[in-house]
Amino acid sequence: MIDKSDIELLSEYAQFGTEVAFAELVRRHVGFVYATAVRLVVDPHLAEDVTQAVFVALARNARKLRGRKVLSSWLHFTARNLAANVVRTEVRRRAREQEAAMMPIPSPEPESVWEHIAPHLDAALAELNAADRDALMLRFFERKTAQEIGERLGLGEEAAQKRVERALKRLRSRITARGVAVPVVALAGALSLPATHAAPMGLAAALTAKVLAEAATSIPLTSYLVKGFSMAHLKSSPITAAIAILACLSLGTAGFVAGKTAATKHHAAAAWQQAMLSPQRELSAASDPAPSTNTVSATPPFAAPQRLSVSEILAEAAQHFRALDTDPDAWSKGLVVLEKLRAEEAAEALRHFEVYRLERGVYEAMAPAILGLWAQTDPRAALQYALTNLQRNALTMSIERVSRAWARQEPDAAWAWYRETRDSAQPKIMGSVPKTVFAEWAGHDTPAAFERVARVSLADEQAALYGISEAARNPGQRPGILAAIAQMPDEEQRRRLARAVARDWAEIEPQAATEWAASLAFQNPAAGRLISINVFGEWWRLDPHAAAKWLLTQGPAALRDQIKNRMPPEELKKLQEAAR
Amino acid sequence: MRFLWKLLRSFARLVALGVALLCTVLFVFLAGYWLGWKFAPTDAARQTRAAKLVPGAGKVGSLPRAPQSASLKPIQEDMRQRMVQLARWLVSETDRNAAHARVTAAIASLGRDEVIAALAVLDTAPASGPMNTLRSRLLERWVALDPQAAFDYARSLPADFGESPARLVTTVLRRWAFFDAAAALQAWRGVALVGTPGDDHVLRRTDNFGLDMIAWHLGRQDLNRALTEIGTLPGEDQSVAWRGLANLAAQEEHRERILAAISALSPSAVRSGALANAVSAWAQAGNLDNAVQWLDSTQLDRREQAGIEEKMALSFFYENPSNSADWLIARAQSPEERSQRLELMTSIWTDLDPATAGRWLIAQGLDGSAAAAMWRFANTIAANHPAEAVIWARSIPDEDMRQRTLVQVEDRIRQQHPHRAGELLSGATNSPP
Repeated sequence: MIDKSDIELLSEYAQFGTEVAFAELVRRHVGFVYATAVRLVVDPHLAEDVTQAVFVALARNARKLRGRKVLSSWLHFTARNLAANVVRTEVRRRAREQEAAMMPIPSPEPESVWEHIAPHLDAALAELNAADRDALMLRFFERKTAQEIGERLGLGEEAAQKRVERALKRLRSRITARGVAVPVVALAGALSLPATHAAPMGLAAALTAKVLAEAATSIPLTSYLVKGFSMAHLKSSPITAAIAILACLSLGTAGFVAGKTAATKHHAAAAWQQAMLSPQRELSAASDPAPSTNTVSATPPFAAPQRLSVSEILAEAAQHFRALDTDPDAWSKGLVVLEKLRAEEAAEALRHFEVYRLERGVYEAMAPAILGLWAQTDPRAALQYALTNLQRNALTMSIERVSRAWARQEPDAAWAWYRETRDSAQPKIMGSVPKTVFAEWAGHDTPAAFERVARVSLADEQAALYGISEAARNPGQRPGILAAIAQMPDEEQRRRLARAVARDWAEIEPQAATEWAASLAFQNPAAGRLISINVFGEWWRLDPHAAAKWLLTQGPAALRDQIKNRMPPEELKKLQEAAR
Repeated sequence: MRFLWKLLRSFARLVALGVALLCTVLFVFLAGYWLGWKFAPTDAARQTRAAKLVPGAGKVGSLPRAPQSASLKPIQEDMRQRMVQLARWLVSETDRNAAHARVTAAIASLGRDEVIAALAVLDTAPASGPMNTLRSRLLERWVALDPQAAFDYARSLPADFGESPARLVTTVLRRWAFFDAAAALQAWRGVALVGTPGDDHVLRRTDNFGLDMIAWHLGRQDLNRALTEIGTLPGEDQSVAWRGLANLAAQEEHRERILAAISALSPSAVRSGALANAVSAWAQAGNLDNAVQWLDSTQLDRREQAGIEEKMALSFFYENPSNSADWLIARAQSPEERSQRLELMTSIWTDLDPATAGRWLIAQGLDGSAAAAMWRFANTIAANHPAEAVIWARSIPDEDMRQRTLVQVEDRIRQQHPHRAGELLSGATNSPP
């Protein structure tokens, strides 16, 4: 497989549906496609979507593409088109030209050259003719030698080298035309750098499975994500005195109504945020969480439950779990019923739980909750029981519940158990444990969790960081965690955790998260900027108008410039109107 | 002089006119503002008017309102409190499964008017992940009570609603299919033809408005009808529907017919994909041996069968990498196939757990057939484990591939560790990994 050319692999996939051939194609090109997508859409998650769409298109067009000499050109072209649709960037190029023309041109170092050419690179490449583009793709993105390029393009080695040089000069002239002066040598050096945005670990594997699963579906090519800035375009018309008076009158009325509506909406939103994030008492579904004063509904959904015996609770839960085929919410209802059990009832619950052993579906659905309860008094026994009696999802979920309950009380011990066990257990079973343990640990003893996360192995680090970021979702725990992040000694780890926390937080309080991200300082300023842009992207997805308004009225100038550079001018205009 | 005087008078007249005009404009504007202040409807009046709308007949983009005006406000206030409480769970509970279960169970007990009131309440909340979750759960509940109204509502949402209308339509259709897949499919046909505002990209592509789930439920509810309907779908959608339907092979009562129907399709990527799903679902249901035995009995073209085997191994991989990798290698029927499979498994495994993947690869024997896998392994670990990558690259038995891998690994090391490249490349020994 390794020695086959792209086209051979594509033919094999098109003809026989050989998945391994397609997987190889994905592995070869995923980094380059992802880097292109990130350059254009900025947001890494969006870039993953674009990357996936490109490979779906590849799978669907496999037959048609078999005659191509250089697949990477087509991939670049498609990635660019898809990304362009995502951010409606056909006109973005012009905005960059205008801005770039006003920018002072720095003396180019390789990395700063890359920073300057990156926004223009894809557009400039697209303007080259196919032969030039193919040559550059092969040389700089597939990293082929002149001899290999010659073989692919049917040229001699020398001719291939000349074509690359010529194409490079043309690319340079296209980029220079956009106001970025860069010598050919520096351009070649910058292009030779590794992709600025490496594809995330595991993307190729995940993508292959997804793409192959979706290869036969349709691929509409326009964006659904960036759509929030649409504003009615007002057209002027001839003005007469009467119309002017009427217009003024209407404007006055409209001004009042709009002002009132905006104020009402603003107050409502603020009240929501305050209510949702205010410190709260301990909650559980069984403890009547909302004081319901409703006299309208005949069946108040949060009515205080009557206290049932342990066997009655289990029987009620079992009834729900038996109804999974007819009630899509049965599983949730059963779990909530089991939350009525108290820790001191664990032993009794276990005895009754055993009754359901023959009813496998019910037994497995109950197991995580029952074992989670048991873990509050004897986590090791609960784990042993799970490993001995359960399989598949029931086992995985039980391990998670038990490790969570254990970590709430003795995070150190739970972590030590994980480290002893992880190599001997199946990865899927233990996969959620580091995240779970650190989520609880960081919530209950932040300094200790941070002290430990600095020493975890590489294999567990990412999951542990995600766990801490999960804990930071809780408004009561967040300040302590943010303070601890600021003190982290390892810059790289601090950056990764800050990014995870900001993204999770942005889902709840996008403005606060964006402001926090913009205030972070790193030795590498580009890394900090990228976090801010990502978090802003999350906000943009959730509420484009609010995000735009904040950016233009309160956002830090550096962030504003970065984002404006990536926005089509027509959208930018609408954004400015929205902000007004 | 006289001319200057005239000019001055004209200018003064012009200024006076301008000032008068400005005053008039200002006066009229203020009058309009006063009118707005005096006559703009209050929130209560708006709600009362809205409540008079016929239930279920919401205009485009507006919610159908509760039938009794007097009941609207108390319900909304009550729903606001409850939604706040549910949002708090979603925000504060680190056990997200538990939080979602509580939210789902709580919403599952709401009545129709309460659901509608709660959705209206959510419109006043700032956009956020928890709000989107609540909106989805509320829509699912509405489907259980009145699927057509929920569907009409989701379809009527404008493109700038905030949350993607296509996603909400998909949520509704999936839940509708659970109760009545034939009706959901009918509704799906309408959406698939024209789409929804702003749906025209990734979501449409990846979810196709939940068609796979609709097909699966339809098969579960009425397999004959599912097999008939699937043939009437547009070509590209058939593949999605077949893959969804194929999962029914996990259930014994449907297995035989599903497998027969898929086998009867003409050889194509659609058939291969559906067969792979069906056999994997069968195996996942705890019948790996039977599934494999059946697959062997089909006498498919070797390439097609090999592809299905690979897909089966991948479906088991995340649960038990070692077993699924061993199984796939054991079923290789030629050295070339073995080499390909070693490479496939190594590449996926190395991404997840390089140490275990490396040990497994060594256990397979580092002979010629493992060369491509070794190349893959060395390249994948080069960024994070450069010294080990060099050792692996130098151990590749095939001369050409070894040289090529060494060049690539060195290239990567120089990119990732420019300051340490010399030390890493010279320090590596030639000892086997």
